[in-house]
Amino acid sequence: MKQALTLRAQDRRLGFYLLLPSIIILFAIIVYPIGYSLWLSFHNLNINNPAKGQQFVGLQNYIDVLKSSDWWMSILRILYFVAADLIVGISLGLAIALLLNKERKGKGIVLAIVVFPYILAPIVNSLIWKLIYDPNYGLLNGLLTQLGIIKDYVAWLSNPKLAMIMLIIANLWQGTPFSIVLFLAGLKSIPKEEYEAAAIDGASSLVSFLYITIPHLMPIIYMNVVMKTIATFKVFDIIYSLTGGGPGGSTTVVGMLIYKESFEYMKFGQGAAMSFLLLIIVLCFVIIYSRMFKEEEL
Amino acid sequence: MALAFKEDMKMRKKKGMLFLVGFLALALIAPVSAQQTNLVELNTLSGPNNLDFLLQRFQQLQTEKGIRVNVNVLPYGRDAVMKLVASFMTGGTQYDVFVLDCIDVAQYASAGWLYPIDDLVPESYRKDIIPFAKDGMMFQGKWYGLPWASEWKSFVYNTTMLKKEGLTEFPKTWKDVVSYSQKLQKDKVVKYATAFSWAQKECLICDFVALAATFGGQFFDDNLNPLFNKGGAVDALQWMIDSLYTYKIVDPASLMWTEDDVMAAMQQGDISYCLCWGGSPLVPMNNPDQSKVVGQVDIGLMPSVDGKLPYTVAGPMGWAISKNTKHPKEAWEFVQFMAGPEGSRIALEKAGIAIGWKSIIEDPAIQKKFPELKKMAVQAQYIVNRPAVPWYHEFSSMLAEELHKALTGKMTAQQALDEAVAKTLEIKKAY
Repeated sequence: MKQALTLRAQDRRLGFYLLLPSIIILFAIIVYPIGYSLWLSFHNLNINNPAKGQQFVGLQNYIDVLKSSDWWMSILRILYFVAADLIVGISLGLAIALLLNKERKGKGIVLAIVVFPYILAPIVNSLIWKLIYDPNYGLLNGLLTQLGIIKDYVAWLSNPKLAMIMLIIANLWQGTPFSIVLFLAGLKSIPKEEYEAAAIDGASSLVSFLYITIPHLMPIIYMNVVMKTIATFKVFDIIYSLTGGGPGGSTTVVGMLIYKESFEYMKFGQGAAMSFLLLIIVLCFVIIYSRMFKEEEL
Repeated sequence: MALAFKEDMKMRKKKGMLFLVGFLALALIAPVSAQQTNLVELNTLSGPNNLDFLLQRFQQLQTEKGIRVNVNVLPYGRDAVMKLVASFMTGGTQYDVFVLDCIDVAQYASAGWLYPIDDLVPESYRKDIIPFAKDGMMFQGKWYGLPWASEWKSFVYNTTMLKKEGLTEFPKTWKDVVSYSQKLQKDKVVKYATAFSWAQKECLICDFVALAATFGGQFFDDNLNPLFNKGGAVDALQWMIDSLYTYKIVDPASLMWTEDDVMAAMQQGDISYCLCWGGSPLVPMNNPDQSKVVGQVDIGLMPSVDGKLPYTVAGPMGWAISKNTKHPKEAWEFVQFMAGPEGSRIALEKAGIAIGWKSIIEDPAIQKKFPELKKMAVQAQYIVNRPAVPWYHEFSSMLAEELHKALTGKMTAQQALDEAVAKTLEIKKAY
């Protein structure tokens, strides 16, 4: 008995030693930076004015952020971005997945093409869309002019109202394949017998979709909503490279504002405070989603 | 079998030990041999532009003066700011010498990160340096760097397009610019006569500073109180708005364009004139690999509201020394070697890098090689720098956003500049 206990203790120790490298790495690259960011959010480093030195400012950074109109405007912009991304992205993802779920010739090639944008580096995606939206040589202007939809070339990213929509489209192009892959996996797991039984009972395609497909896909929809919300709240690279937050600040979403505050103004304390406030907002959304979907009994 | 295995293991152990001892010996010897050569090592950082030329010069410095320069190459020149600040915050010894942009001088100098060079600069340099290049490297009466890439924006014209319309003289006033442009557009020589770099970035500030100066506008008084919501600055912004929406002579894409986009449009022959950076903006215009307007472009003087204030904006930079460098003597030697009059001449001749020394601009041999320098020298008398404030980056980013609000019709010129002034006062107070 005693020997068995000793062996178990030895196993536990061995397990700990084997895990130790991973623990150290995780601590160095996750725990320490998060802890340091939290520390930063309560301090003013005064990088631009080192004579003042580091100052502990308590919650002042958080208060300043919450009082700032720039912060709230950036939140409104990102909410618009997230809403558009969720509604259009998930609907589009589901629609394409339904089309691809049917056995057709060349389905594999189509799937590879559809998924292609997802494997591109975000900066490459941004550069492609920069070329597409180019006001003088861009593909979009050329296409729409050829089709007779527009008479004059449009400077898509120079108009504050259009710029955000253009960014959402570019982001959807890269983000939607993720939804497609998830939905395709979900569709494959739905038993065919249920559709066959429904067909025998005289159910239409719409009824089958509403009462068989959608309920089976609820966990996938939940995962999509959560993952897309988190990813879109953080959106930065495409905005940085296409509009830089302009025109007139109309595309300065939270990620862009945090970048500016931290790396352009060198106010790392306020930037860190913004990051933690963003974390709280995203957490709230995730909690709301989980309650909503729990009620739907996933 | 077992014996052979043991022997083999012994041999392997021996070999391993030998390798380890050899490696340690080498590691111990290596620094000694570096010391024996009496090389002093300086560290710097650089973007990819002109890297080959820089490396060549660093090698030459090592051969001639025994100073080795280690360079940390970055994807883009302005990426140096974060690395430099991090270096300064941790003692300022990581980088001994670096290229200092005029917009960073006030911040770095007031933070005590720069090595003042007043006592080192010889009298001959003081007489020879072009005033704007010196101003760009000074803060509160102290001098911090020798001029390197001391550029200003030149107004360049496609003379072929102008001649086609019978326009033989360059426009002197902004009114002339409008009438010339409308003529060029009416006769379909170009769709838009011009374009500017008015993306919501630093490039917009550069153009606004130049335009405001041509309208007689001022940015700050001596006590750094903002003045740009009155007079010429407001008129300049109003002209920018009108040029987009009333006169329709500026390509609307300008609102997302940086200097490179404007340069490309000019090189493609899409526009008739524009503002261009460069030691010699004609070099890229006349490069057949990049340009469709080879031999068609010429440099003129900046237009202004009445033809009397043909100011443009400068972006002087300089090689500077970190305050806490361990090798100030060698660092100064390096700065002189790279950016002193002789070093600058080599930089101009070999890499087209703009110079900040009168003696070189006026040198007949140089003028023969770069005939456009004569015209550029006239413009060099009318040059303004961007405001030298220690909170420049926050100010510049804020101002770009406010200017863009006016340029995109969200606000009037006056409203945008009033808001910018209010925010400037907040930034100044928080500093």
